[in-house]
Amino acid sequence: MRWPETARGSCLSPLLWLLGCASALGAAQQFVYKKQYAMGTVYEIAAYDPSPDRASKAIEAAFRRIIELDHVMSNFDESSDLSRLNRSAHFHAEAVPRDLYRAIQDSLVYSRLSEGKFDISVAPLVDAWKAAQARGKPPSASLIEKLRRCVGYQQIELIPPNRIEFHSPCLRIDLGAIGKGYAVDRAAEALRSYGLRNALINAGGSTVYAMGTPPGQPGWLVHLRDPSRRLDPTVLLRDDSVSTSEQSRSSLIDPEGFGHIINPFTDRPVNATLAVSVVAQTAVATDGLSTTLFLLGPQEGGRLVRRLPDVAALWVSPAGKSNLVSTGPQIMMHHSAIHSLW
Amino acid sequence: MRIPRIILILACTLLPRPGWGRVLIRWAEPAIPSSRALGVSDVVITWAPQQQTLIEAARNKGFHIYAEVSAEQARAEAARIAREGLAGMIVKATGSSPAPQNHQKLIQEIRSAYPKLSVLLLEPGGKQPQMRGTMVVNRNGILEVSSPTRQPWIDSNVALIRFERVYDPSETPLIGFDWNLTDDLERRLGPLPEDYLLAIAEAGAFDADLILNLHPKLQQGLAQGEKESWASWQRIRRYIAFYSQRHGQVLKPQANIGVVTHDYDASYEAVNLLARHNIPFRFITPQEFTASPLESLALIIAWSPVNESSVRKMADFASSGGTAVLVGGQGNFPWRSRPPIQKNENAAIYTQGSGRIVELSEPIVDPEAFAQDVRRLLKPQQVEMSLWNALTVLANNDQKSGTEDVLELVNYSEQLLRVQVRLKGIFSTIRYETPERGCCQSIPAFHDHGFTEFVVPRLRVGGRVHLSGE
Repeated sequence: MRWPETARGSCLSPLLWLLGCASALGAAQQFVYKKQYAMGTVYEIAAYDPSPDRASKAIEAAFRRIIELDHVMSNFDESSDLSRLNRSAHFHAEAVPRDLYRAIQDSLVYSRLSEGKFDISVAPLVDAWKAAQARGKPPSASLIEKLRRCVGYQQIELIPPNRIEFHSPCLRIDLGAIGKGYAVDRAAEALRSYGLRNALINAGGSTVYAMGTPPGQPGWLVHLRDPSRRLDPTVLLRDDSVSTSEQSRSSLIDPEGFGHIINPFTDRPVNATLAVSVVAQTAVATDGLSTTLFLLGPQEGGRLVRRLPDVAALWVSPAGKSNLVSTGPQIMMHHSAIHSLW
Repeated sequence: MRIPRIILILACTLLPRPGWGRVLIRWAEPAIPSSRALGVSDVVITWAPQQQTLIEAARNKGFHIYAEVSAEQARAEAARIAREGLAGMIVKATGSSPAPQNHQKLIQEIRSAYPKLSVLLLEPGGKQPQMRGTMVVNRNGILEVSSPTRQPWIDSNVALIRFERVYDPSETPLIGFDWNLTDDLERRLGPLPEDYLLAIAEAGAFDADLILNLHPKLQQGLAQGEKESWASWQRIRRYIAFYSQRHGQVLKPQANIGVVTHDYDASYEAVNLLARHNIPFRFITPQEFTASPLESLALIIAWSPVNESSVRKMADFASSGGTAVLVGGQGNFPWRSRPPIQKNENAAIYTQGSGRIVELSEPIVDPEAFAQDVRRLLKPQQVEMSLWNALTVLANNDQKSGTEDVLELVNYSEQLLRVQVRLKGIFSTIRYETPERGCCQSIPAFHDHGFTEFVVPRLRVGGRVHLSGE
């Protein structure tokens, strides 16, 4: 995957406010915190454990797992497994590592759920619009037309147990919209394998996964991204995850400048500035769903959420409009006056 | 002969300046290894009666000793410090950055009274250079919000150093900071060796002197000859030696963006993000702005208030094809006699001759977007430096001679990166050196429409690229 090179990452950080009261710590639970740069962002892990040395080793192991996945899923690194797949799987089934197979398999779930609005094969269009942004001019219609033929998740064939083939001569996969979530889930597995029970994993603020609780607390309180700064939405996480996708203004001079999230149906950047936060059981689910629901918008996205078990989604606009749909998890809003829906 | 301040400022900002990068270590433990063993000659010790034993020990171990005092203590203690035969004194400035003028006046007075004493001003506002996450851990155990940024946030001293360079050009900025240690384990063990390396690399690459706080555990380990502490120190020592090589080199900043401001607080965040996005700029004082030619600049950014001659200068600059950005301007500016070609709640753009003037409202509502806008306002041929796979890297490009550039790279993630670089100019020979691997590895270069592109193969914390042969 081509991790973002500029400030146009797929998500804006949700605001985190994670309570772990010192008074409840006691001698039994020691706090350990570490951070690691990978996949173009900062991964942070905070853990409570009776043994800080064990927690420290567990966190290091989780980071090693994330770095390992970066080497598998990076499309910036020409020697990564994904880059190799992108070079050689056109009309040819290519064997891939289990992690890459699983990450692509998980991605296709959201492509089908969104009927193609979430699409990991949109990379050629993303690159064209990035280049356009640098030039200040949109790409030509003929270029878009040419690139459109390269896009389409239906052209990716998974051949169990570990082979993948592209039925297009120019298809390329970019896992930027789901790879962090996949990595966070694998990091959580690594922490559990060391016996850790209470930890929080944060991938650049856009995807957070909580294991257990901080000492004496019912869960990890996470403040969600609120572009209006009026609603202060929060969620109490416990063995579940939250992700945020946001497209914000990238220019003071040209507010109509191109965004970074491409709608494969229109071949254009989405012309909307809003934040979507999604709560679900796994980080790969919240990461995939947040982009999907951003692209679908509050109405169509709301209908999708109602079909899914144990999912909550909140759309917030800079003007303070919001739409909250949940089939289980609770997102709390701390400003009662705002209930304006799309 | 008294040289007018404006002349000094012009001389120091327009002309090449000597590179620097001296590291002084701050020591508090009673035992100290020898200066020769540490490879450091300057030690900073808090000036207090109970430190006499340490001062004696450090003197016997061959150090130049700097006594650290508060600005309030400085005048009263200077005589005693001079009598003790110490090498100098460090005056800790208080308040906001840059150091207030009364501190600078104090320093001058003490220097005049005790000419043999080296008197240095420690800037307020120095912070631990680091890559930050979005989780913030407070001492009381509450983890909370930091920044809603879309890429790794970097705490750096670059804006502070550059401000100091122009507003007190006769001094090498001296920075220091307290370590930001987040959990009990880190507080017990101290910073990682890489954290020390980063601090040295930042100060060295951006030409500041540094007071390096050594954690008590490292001090004790070094004093007791612990193998692990000395292994860490050997790495630190290599960095100190590497950046001392910049000392005395005559370097000219490669920057075609001028930032005109007299107000550190108003412009700090925007300027900090220009540095963070590796947009090469140099500060221009308001006096210099009106007094000096601007031909070498492609873009100027001025913070209001601007006087009449500055307004005229901006209009002239734009008329000759440049882009002038005015932040927070209020007044009846000549370009407003025509309607703007583009206008929104934050910005208005006016054409002026063959260039343009951009007015931005103040305060800048989104400094991150501002920094990106500045890059977009440049024509492709005017973008002097671009980096890829370098979200945690800050770079400083200087011209060493007519045909040689030196590019310093500092990686705040402290993790190995392979960085792609594009610099304006045609350079045929590119050599790369690091403190870890020494000098020099040849790097292949590609030339494209007046630019040179290359890939730095391994950047852990600090690295230096020599480019020559235009």
